[in-house]
Amino acid sequence: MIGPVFEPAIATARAEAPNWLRPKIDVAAITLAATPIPNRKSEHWKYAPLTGLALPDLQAASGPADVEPAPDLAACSIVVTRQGLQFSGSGSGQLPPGIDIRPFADLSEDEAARVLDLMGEAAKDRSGLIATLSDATLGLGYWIDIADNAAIDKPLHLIWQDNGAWLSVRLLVTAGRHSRANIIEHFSTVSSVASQQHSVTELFLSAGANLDYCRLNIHRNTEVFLGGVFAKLSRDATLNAFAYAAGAKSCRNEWGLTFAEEGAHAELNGVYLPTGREVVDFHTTLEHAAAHCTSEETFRGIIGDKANAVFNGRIHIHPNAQKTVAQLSNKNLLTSDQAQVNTKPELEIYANDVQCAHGATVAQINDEAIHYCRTRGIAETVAAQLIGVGFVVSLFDRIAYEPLREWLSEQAKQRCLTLVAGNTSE
Amino acid sequence: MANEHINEVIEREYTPGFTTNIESDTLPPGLDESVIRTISARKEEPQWLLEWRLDAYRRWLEMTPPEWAQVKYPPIDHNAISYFSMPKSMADKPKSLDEVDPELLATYEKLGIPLHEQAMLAGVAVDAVFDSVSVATTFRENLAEAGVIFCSISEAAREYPELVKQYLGSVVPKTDNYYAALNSAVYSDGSFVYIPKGVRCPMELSTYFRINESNTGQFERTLIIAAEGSHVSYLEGCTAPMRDENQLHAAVVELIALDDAEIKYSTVQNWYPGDAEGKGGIYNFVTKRGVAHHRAKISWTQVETGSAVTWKYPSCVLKGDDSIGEFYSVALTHNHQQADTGTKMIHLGRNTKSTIISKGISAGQSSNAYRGLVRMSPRAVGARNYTQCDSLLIGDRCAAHTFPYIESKQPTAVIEHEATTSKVSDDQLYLCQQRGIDPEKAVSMIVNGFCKEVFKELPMEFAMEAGKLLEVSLEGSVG
Amino acid sequence: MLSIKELRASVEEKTILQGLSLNIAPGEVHAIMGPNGAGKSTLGHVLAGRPGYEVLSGSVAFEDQDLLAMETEERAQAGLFLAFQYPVEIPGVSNMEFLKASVDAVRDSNNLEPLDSVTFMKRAREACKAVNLSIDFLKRGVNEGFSGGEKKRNELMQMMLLEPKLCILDETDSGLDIDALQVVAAGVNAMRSADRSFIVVTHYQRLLDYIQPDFVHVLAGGKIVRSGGKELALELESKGYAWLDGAA
Ligand SMILES: Nc1ncnc2c1ncn2[C@@H]1O[C@H](COP(=O)(O)OP(=O)(O)O)[C@@H](O)[C@H]1O
Ligand SMILES: [Mg+2]
Repeated sequence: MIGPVFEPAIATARAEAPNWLRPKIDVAAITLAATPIPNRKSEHWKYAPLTGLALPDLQAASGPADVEPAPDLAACSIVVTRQGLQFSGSGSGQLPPGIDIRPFADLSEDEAARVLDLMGEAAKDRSGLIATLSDATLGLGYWIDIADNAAIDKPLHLIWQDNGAWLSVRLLVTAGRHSRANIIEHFSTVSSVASQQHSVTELFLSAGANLDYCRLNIHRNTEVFLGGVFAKLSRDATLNAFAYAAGAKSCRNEWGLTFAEEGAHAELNGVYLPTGREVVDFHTTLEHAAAHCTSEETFRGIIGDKANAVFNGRIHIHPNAQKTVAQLSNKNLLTSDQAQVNTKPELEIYANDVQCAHGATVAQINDEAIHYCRTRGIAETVAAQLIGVGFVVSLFDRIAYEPLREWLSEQAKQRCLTLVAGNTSE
Repeated sequence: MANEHINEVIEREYTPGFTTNIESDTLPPGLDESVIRTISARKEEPQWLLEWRLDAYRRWLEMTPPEWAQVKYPPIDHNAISYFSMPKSMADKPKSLDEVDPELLATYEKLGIPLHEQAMLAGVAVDAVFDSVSVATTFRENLAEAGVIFCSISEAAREYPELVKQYLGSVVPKTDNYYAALNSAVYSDGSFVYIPKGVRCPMELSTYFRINESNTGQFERTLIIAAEGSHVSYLEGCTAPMRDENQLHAAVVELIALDDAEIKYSTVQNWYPGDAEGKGGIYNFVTKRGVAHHRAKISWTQVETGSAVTWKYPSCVLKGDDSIGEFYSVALTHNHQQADTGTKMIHLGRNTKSTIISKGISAGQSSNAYRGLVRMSPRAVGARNYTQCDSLLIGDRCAAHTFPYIESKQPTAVIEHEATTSKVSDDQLYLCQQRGIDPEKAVSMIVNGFCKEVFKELPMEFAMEAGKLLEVSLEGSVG
Repeated sequence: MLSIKELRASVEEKTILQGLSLNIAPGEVHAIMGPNGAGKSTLGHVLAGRPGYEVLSGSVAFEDQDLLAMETEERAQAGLFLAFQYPVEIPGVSNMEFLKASVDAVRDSNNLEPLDSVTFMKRAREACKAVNLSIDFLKRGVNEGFSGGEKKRNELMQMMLLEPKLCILDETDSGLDIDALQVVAAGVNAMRSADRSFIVVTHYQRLLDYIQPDFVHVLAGGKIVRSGGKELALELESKGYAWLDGAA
């Protein structure tokens, strides 16, 4: 059972949580106590099981070693730690009007009731384990509320940090009717010892809301990350989501987007660049529960050295979701003999008047293209890097916010160099 | 509009649904070791085969039915089924067709498979299996001249024990899965084929399976061995009477293509699918797998229109370098039929190639799933796979699913997978009508067009039949 | 400039070049013609250093360097350029980024500073203009979704930017209409100079109406079976290759 593994984290969560949260923690803890540790036989964990997972020392305050400072994206940057919020970077140092961010501990009774109501509402994922883990171990809980009709140009750049080896965060975003906003969640490794992070984010988009959301997982190979992003889209809401993952020892993200009302649209793009012995695991589910919704999902990855990439992309069209248009594509490049990829695009369709398609490819960097570059004087590794970046760059182009796009492309470029060169951080 | 017409096309008549009234010798329902001993004794099997069966049975007892497939059916009571049934007239092993009960021959005649010399299908040798026994095998002498062995597997166990012993269970181990284990314990009859080195089998080989007796299960077992450089094309067909009860058919097919050999295996599966309310029909739980050695080729083609529940994944283990695996499938489900079918391509050798073309058509309230695995092992340097899975939905109460598992541990391997869904659109029907084509004809044209890539892989005689089969199957589906 | 001696080379264990010799002095334009499958493209690939093409014997000197001992990119950096018969598509890598990487690599090997972006862009635009290619092509992926003619012009555009010493054009004229052909010819002619040489592989004598060769060679069966002046091209045009069989 997985419960005992997290015993100390659950105890800490209980001790630190506000009163109104405790029952939720207890329920989750009971569920975990009866939940087996996912192994190779568990359908949703078979390629990256959790067997052998151990909790790091919660007290280990290893201190930031040589932490790379979070980039300055000219956004409203906020570093969130157990001590609270701290504005950083060249941003204005204050929240733009129309957006509010509050720790769970500071909520009024009414607000707490609302949050409690929403928690888990979008996170009805298939395995349920990620959300349950988050409920049971909840450490930092925050609620971002975007007012109706708010039009916020400056992105909110949330940098989650803890100077210990353990972090469990929960973020709830309610985007008001016809609001527009951009949120970047940024996870990195600050600990110099083995560490673990849990994060569940739930996005609630009211009618006509338009949200850009980016989740950055840029870790070191001592980190185990388990998290998920779950969104519920109301009528005519639009979500533009992006995921980037590289560096962690193991990084699992579940995405669950539910199209709850007609006319909603979501784009979900992702790039993963694992190397060394890293495991990157994306499980995405698009629940098309209403008619006339559209979705477009594209994930691409380059997998080097002994890394393992897992991608499971499910499109589920409910019986009444007529006129849905849903596309999914997953492309992979393997750059080493010992790298592996396991991909499974799934369609489950219960409505006939829909257009659904998915595609998946696995290959290596095209020899012809490398040769062509070399005849133009470009050295082989540079050529491979160029082509590798070219393979993923079209996805970055879909990030609307330029400073993020530029910075991330540069990150990917550096990463591609190690990926194609085959040497690693190990 | 489209739906109205489609239903008209699909309300089908199941023409092979008649029952043959003959006296049968049927074991009482129930399964234990004594049943297995009886089956083995009736077939005068060697001792090792009995032991093999008993071992499979004991292991089966420890196993549980697979639950991962996208199909729902009530638990099967294995003690309510009879595991052996044969026409009484077959008891004294007729030596020639003249000695076979005319009623049996008439049955095949009616199914379009004449077994008489005069009427035999030219160029196709047929092994006719009726419930648990093989009734007759045609053209045996002609085949023997070429050195080809084509007989029932029971006969093979007596006549060619070394071959059977060497290969039986070598591709599908007895404990491969729940139904394969059950089959290994109780298999009754089926076909055995051996093509010697360098021989191109002079005619199509074919087995026609018929379930007749009620309350019985059919557990056929087929073993095809193509020796080095040989070539064979084999096809199977199957039907059963219309009954309210569900009947179990759990078959195992093993193919061995040695170096440079080629096996083409085609299936036209038309077991009774149950009625419009989902009552009755065959549970078709089948394990089919082939091993391809160096430069060998195994090609599966299937047209699945029958059965209440289908659970079937004809697979290729591409063991030898440069070996080739192919899977072409049309699966049509209607009313309350459920199909979970697909393939596995296991690439072990270098430069192995596989192609998967799957066409699923769902109508009525049926559910149709493609489930596939493409695996590139670390050794599969330069291997390639191409997969295309298309679903056609007819009506708004059916379901179509695609579950492709893609695993690669070899950077030089290239895998491409594509899947799409479509429907028969009002616009398409309108266009056809405007050009004077009636809607029923239009639907079957569109469906046939959708399946074209697969039909062209079938041997000629069967391609026509398959096209017609879809037409009847779709009867009344416009609506 | 280039001296090929008794070159024998194979692809996939099939010997294609069977003892080919050719000398090219600075400033010369050599046309190579010959039937399909003669080995013309193979010659280009062996000179450019394509993996899988194995040199069995013979030697190639390029400006007193042993060409065959050099890596593919070193040959390019030393000034050898091959315009591909079938240019390769590289999705996602923009033409501009690719060209900059290429120009900088070539400059770097000659101990030159990388071009600043402004100068580079200016030159790239000029090159596009010279081959009648819209500058929008600079933003698109390398040859990605280009038509046959656009690919050929893109090759020429790269050649202009890189200013190589030896240009090998492998059927750059195939698939071009007469206007595009003239653009290509004008581009080549503009680049002709006393220290730059060309090997022009072509199927059709019509290109040679626009690019006047100093020599014409016929390649057949992996060897040069005839050499002559430009009148040889006319002879080939009227008689075809069959009459050469005896000579081969
Ligand atoms: N990559 C290759 N693999 C195998 N054979 C090749 C390859 N490239 C070229 N050849 C063969 O080499 C011969 C010469 O080809 P090529 O040089 O392209 O001729 P040309 O350009 O004169 O038409 C042909 O017979 C061709 O089939
Ligand atoms: Mg050529």
